[in-house]
Amino acid sequence: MRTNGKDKAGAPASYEKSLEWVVGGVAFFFVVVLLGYLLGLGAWVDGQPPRFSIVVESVEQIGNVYQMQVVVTNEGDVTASDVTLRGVLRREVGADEARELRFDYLPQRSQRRGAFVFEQDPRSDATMHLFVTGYVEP
Amino acid sequence: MRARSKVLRDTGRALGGALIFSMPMLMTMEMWWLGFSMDRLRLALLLILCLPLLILLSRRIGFETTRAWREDVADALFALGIGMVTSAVALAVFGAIGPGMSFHEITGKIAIQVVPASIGALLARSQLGSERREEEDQQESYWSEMFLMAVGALFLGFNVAPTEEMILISYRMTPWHAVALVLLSLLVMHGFIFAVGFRGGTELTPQTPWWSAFARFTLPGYMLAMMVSLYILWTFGRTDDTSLEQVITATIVLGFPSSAGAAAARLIL
Repeated sequence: MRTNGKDKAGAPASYEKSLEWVVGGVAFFFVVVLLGYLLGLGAWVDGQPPRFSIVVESVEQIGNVYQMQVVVTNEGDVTASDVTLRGVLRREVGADEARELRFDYLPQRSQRRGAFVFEQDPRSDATMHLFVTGYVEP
Repeated sequence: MRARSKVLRDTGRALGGALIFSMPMLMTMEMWWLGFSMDRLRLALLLILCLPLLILLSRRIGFETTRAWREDVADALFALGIGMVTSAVALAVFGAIGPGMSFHEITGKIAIQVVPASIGALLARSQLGSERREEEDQQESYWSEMFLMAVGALFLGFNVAPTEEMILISYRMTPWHAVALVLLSLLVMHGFIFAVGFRGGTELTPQTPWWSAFARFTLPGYMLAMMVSLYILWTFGRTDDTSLEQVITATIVLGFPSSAGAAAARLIL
């Protein structure tokens, strides 16, 4: 295959040549699997709209505020953008504390993390309401 | 005296090359953000991988028609240094780095720019220099062809990967769009490989049947471009907490410029 004098002709060249075809075969297999996967997705996934599940990961006291880490999972098959998450801390006595988070993108079947900052301890006897108020399609 | 002017000329060329190759990234704000937000270990790995890449690239092309590995290592380190200086000066002038920022932020912002800048510095000779390589060097082995493709993919992929549009496109795509993009990438790549191959230097000739070139160059080149794209996405943290389907779609989107870069590597590099 090479003509620059380094080629010893015969066996080494044909060995290298067959190696090229092996690489080509592996790559062919790769592309076929990739296309097969995508076609399978296109045929079988019915494009469910975004659905969100929210899990509180941890609450940490930092100075005189409380940081509450949340993980939001989009369980649908469509990516949502501008996902607004609202957390309301409702207490027996005193005013409610409401906080908002906004995620630029929440891809399908993926997670994103964020944190609310409250003045009261969310772990106390207060009740916590977490919900997504809306999203737009990217 | 002549040696000194040669050093000055080479340094000037390297600075110019670094600037031209990294300008789009130096002026992209997502690149600055990545500088402080990206995982430090991934950034370190990127820099570590950059060195052997530069050495191999210098072996193939570079400031000198070097023979000894020692000289290639020196050239690679020189390019790395030029890349750092160029990035640091440009970022400082843009106000992207300055007083009041942490050491962590400043080093991150410079480090992430070093890869494209140092590749540019190393390629400066072939781009800006008037000397052409000797005829005997022009015949590439299959593996060095593959290496060039990987560098081409890395370079063009790096240019577009940090932007938000990259992932936005993948969010908007359906699996059918993805299939179409894979086929389009292969078509574009094959066009480039065929057109560029005839310029000489490869074993491809007008007599080579299209399927032979497709199987031995286009398909492996595409697989390589996809692997490089996935590596870039992982490095930039685009694959974290993300579903397999989304990762694959984003890789296909980035694979489009990467594969074009791979196929056109012989034109760019």
